[in-house]
Amino acid sequence: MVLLPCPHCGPRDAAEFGYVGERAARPDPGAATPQQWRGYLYLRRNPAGWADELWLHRAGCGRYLAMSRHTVTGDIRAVRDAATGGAD
Amino acid sequence: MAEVSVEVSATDCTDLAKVLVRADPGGALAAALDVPFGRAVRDGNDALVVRTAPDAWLLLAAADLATPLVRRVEALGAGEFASVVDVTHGHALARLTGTTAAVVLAKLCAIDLADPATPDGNTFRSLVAGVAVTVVRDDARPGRLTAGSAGATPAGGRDARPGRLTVSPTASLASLDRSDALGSAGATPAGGRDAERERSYLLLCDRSYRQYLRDVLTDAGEEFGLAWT
Ligand SMILES: [Zn+2]
Repeated sequence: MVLLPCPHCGPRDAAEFGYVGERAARPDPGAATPQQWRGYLYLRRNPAGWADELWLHRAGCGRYLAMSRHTVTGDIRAVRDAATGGAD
Repeated sequence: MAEVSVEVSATDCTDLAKVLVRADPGGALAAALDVPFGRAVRDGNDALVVRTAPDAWLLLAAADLATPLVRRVEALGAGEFASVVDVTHGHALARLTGTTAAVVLAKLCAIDLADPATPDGNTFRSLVAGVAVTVVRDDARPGRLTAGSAGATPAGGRDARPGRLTVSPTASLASLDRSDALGSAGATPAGGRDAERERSYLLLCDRSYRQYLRDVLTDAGEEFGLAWT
């Protein structure tokens, strides 16, 4: 079982989570060029190393989590609630 | 073993009213409900308030109380951006009770069910047999229970066991709470059993998994003599 740390629920089976994708800063929809918007929607760094990712604790607290995860080793060095930044 | 005793039983409680609340954890509604994340508390109005997430609450009450419950909770957060939805018919609810209830549940769920991790009044949402389930540890206490009656006798022609604590399938949370408020003296089961707690879990899942949850609980509980009441 692969465990992922949830700041609300504690360590949980990775099967409880949904992988949303790499986190990207959302440009101002009114000011962004089509190229910028396309980049926000579709372009990812896809690093072999540390990545800033968004995960959804689907079968747990239901919160979106911002995770700093190493895509090669699976190590996680930081996790927080994506909306509040905290543990509650 | 000379005699096989019923050490664990399960009851389908899907008929109970279920209300889902989503609100700002820092708002007035959250303050009024006043239940920390991971805990389940009986309020003064016959409802069990379960904090299932930092921003979500599940309220359980007697079958006919959904509409007044929605109105009451909506009034708590007047003017606040929140949602209070009657989800009674969208979810299934079962209660697993007995000395081996935790052992049965542990076969299906990876969460530590020992007292230090999940004591009475604790709640968590996790996978149970692969399905997202809200688990509430709501131990049976004499005040919340009725002694085994005809209606609570396990199906299949088992003998009724006087003094055997069984959650009555027809009892509502409301009636149980009222006897709770009166103290346990009037509800002490026959046989003078101590006012001890008995392990009990409420399991809530999407209604489409109702039969599946029943099947996996039956399967996991078979070696412990699990009976549906
Ligand atoms: Zn969580």
